[in-house]
Amino acid sequence: MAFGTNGTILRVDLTQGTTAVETFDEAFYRRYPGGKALAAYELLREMPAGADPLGPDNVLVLAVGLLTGAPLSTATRFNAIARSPLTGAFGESEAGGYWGPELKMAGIDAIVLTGRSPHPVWIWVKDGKAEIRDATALWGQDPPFVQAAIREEVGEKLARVLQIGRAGENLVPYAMLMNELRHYNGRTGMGAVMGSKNVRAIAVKGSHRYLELAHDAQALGDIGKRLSKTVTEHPQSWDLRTKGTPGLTDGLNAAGILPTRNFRQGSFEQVEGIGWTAFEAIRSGTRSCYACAVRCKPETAFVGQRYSVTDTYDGPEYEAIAGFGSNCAIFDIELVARANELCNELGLDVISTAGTVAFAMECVEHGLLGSADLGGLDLRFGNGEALLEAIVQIADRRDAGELLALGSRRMAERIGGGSAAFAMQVKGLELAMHEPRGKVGVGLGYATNEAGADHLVGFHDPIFVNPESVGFKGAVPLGITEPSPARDLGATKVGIWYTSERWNSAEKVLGLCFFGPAPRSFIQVADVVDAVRAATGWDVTVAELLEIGERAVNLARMFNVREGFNRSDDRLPDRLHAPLEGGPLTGVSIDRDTFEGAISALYTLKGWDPATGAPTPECLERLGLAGVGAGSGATRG
Amino acid sequence: MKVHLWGELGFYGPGKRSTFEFPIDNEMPVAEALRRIGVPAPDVAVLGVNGVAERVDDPAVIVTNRDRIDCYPPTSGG
Repeated sequence: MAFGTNGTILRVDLTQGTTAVETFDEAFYRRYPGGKALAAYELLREMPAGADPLGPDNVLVLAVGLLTGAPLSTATRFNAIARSPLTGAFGESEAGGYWGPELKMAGIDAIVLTGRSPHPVWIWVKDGKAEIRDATALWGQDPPFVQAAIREEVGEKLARVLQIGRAGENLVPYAMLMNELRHYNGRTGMGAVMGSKNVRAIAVKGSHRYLELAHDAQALGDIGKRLSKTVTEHPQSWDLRTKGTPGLTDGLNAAGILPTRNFRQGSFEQVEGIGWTAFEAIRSGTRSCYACAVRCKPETAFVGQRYSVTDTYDGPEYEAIAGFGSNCAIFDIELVARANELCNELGLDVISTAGTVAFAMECVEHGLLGSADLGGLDLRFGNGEALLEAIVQIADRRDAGELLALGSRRMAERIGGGSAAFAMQVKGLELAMHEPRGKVGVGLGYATNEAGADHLVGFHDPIFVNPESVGFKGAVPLGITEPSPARDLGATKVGIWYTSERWNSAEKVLGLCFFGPAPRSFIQVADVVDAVRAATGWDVTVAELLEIGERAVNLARMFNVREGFNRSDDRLPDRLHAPLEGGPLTGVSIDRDTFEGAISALYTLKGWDPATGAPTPECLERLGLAGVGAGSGATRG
Repeated sequence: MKVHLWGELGFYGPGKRSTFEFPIDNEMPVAEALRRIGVPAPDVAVLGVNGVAERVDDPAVIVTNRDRIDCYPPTSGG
């Protein structure tokens, strides 16, 4: 087999305690090449409609991309997909690192976990074979201990370990997965799903090389070598390598789109405390994912007067800096770094944790919550000590954590008092730290994305403003030729978003990081096409890759439709339709009618029914998806 | 003139430095100053002159050696 994949999926039935390997042919892979497409297909096929997200009927699929593991910068990603316990909708989160490439080299393209083990287990995968092992002694232990214990047990110093933390064991609905301690599938609670199956970890080791799977190994290797040399010759990848995501904070603040005080304001008056200069003072180095020359992962280590942080885990990345910093009105980068480290150690998604705490802080400000509701915590904006304690309580689901572990949507339902208007979530997923009032295409993505308010479902508006900019030029081969202002929601912007989302989805199928291909970074569209051709031998075009991406989006949408979601769920929090209260964009809001019109136009472009948001039969026929995952008995989560 | 090229714009600074002094011999439109530094104007999303937001293409925005300019790129998430 030489089309860039192993052609094999590992099925693990945790109820029965059995494993099996299933093979698929090349025609199947050309339709569902990997990553999001392969995982979404398996979820639709395996999970009965209406399954409890934390029950044995939910299915957790871990799927590597088509190019994952290739000697190609940023080709490191895998998708974790299941029904989300936070939203009840399609749950999805990606990570880079080393686990995905290792799985590919172990001869497996995806792992499908079904059922529930009666006791804690971990799974050992080596060169196409799998064992279910007892994890009783690992349950409740910290991630570094678990990783070391597994490596010692199997006698493999470089066994790659994917695991949950304490939050996953305690079924916090926004618990994450981590691999190699530094790389996270953060969003939508995939850690809770794995915890609900009593699986603490999955360790993998492979002795193969990706190039053994490639149609033209020489050509693919040459592309990888050439691209690795260009990382520092392109401004976007140079920036990622030099500063990483912490370099974003100041620019977003200057543009008035740095979420501040639970998205009330768009700039933070004390940004110097969390901006690049402050971060640089605690930075101890940068790290890489597998075979990636970008090396964007920030590492911090310091012994401060009040807080100390080690370099055991990753970050803080921009999302944690803004989430725990400006959005909680905290201007101490050392405290932010400690909050980030705590989330990683406990296995919590930093974005949902920070968003939920910011929501609680605003509830305190409005008198809707008091310390008596929060286990004695004085969770005011700016109170960093209370934030740190809240994080631990969330992971343990005790004291304030009993309430905060619900996430902002369910908290608002319980608290009432109009708090739903400032619960900054879509479908239950807390907004990432990007302000749609200053870049409205991001708002379209937040609203319509099947998993909820994720920021990595398309490319952000500022790239498409000036046709002479580096970013815009990188998008032209996708067919994006007309610029659009960042706050415009007209037909041009809708068309840009439609293309942008399909290309982004294709990246998730191919296993490429958001920080790899144009228009966000240095790998040009033609390079991606050439890499896929070399890996597979397929005569793919940009149009086919866009269709592959679109097919994956539609699989996710089909899942949501089956589970009872419709157009009414594709909406932004009310706050985003009200004026920003601070910063350069003070007074700017998203007009509700204009936004609804843009959603209708986007549905029409996609071939979805404007009334319901469901793919039309013609759309499914066009994408070859008619009849996939048919089922009934839908229930909302 | 004090210059801070934020984010990816640091790529265009002398020796890829993000902060530096750039002497200019007399006052000039900010667009001309950027051209002399080597910063492509289409990649400047936000411009600050002495802490005040200005348009790059506004010929009335004049800078001198006493000024500080901050240039920010378009940002696309991460």
